[in-house]
Amino acid sequence: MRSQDVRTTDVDAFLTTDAASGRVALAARVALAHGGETVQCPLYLEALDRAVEEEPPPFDTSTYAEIYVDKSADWAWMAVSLITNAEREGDGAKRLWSLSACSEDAEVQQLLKRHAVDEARHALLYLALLDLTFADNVDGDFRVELNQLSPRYSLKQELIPVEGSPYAKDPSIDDFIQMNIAEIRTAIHHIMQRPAMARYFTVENQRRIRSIQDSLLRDELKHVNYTAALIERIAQTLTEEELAGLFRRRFRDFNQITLDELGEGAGIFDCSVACCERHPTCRSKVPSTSVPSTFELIQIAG
Amino acid sequence: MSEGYGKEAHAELADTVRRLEHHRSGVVLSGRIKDGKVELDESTLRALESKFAGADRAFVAVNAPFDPGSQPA
Repeated sequence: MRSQDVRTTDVDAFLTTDAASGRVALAARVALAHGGETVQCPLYLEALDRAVEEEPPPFDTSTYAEIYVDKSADWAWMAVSLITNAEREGDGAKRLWSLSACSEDAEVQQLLKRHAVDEARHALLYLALLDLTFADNVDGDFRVELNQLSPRYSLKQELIPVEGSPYAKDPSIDDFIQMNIAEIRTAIHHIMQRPAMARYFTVENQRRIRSIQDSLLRDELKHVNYTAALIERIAQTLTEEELAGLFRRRFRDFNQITLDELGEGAGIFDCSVACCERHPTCRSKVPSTSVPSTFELIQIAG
Repeated sequence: MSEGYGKEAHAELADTVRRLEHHRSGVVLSGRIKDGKVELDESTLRALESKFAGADRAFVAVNAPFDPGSQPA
């Protein structure tokens, strides 16, 4: 996926693409074309493509998709997964709310506020999916308590940072890159979840479930879109190498987070993404000192 | 048999199988929220542990910065 013209991509291509055919690059392009205002972000796409090649994401492989298919065949795994996703969406909403509250740029503040509101709603949407598929398998009192996972933010609500939040700070391009990479992975999860959830549909609820899934995916692409646009704008003040370095670092970090989340199952990803073959600097062969230090990153970020 | 009837019958059959699988498992998820985090009950964890280890960690949505130590603006 090297085309820089995002207008040639569509959502259907993303929904049906093979897991091994570059979903990260495709998700970025689909989001730029259909996640809101169509934007061309050549600097962003170049840096993203380079980082994906140099730090291949495990979530961009068929193996990752196969693990999901295998696990999601069990209803209890899927039910716990929906609950956990609700928890993470609620937590993400609070981080974004704090970032928004401390943003010194009025436009960025509004974008982050809307994003936080979306994620607070997503927490409730995951719980709605739980209700539609596994209502008989969740304790009633527990289900009521789960509603606390969403902070239920609204656009009319006054922005006040969450007390003690480490995200109560003016956001930087580093934050937008992290958000962008994470949102792309979440969009890929939605692509995997759609067929997996189908096994738990009933005749009565399938239309409602599909509607919720469409809404979630639409929002994730919207978030990839606006963070890419912000990255492109700030990237004008950086050199190509500085931007590439930040992307590479954050992909490396998020890849490790992904492997940690998979736990024991992550062992199968040891260089299965083939970076060793292409790059002598593969992380499995180099000492950790080759990773940029915090000082070096501060120099890059200016 | 029309195509429409076939699809409907297939969906109803899938629905029945799904309900049987749930019933047979006998697992009801229970727990609480503590400091914004989900805590599953011991009984639920025991019931899930053998088959679903890591279900609370893998394939989760992340939508915000993941490193609080990110570089300043």
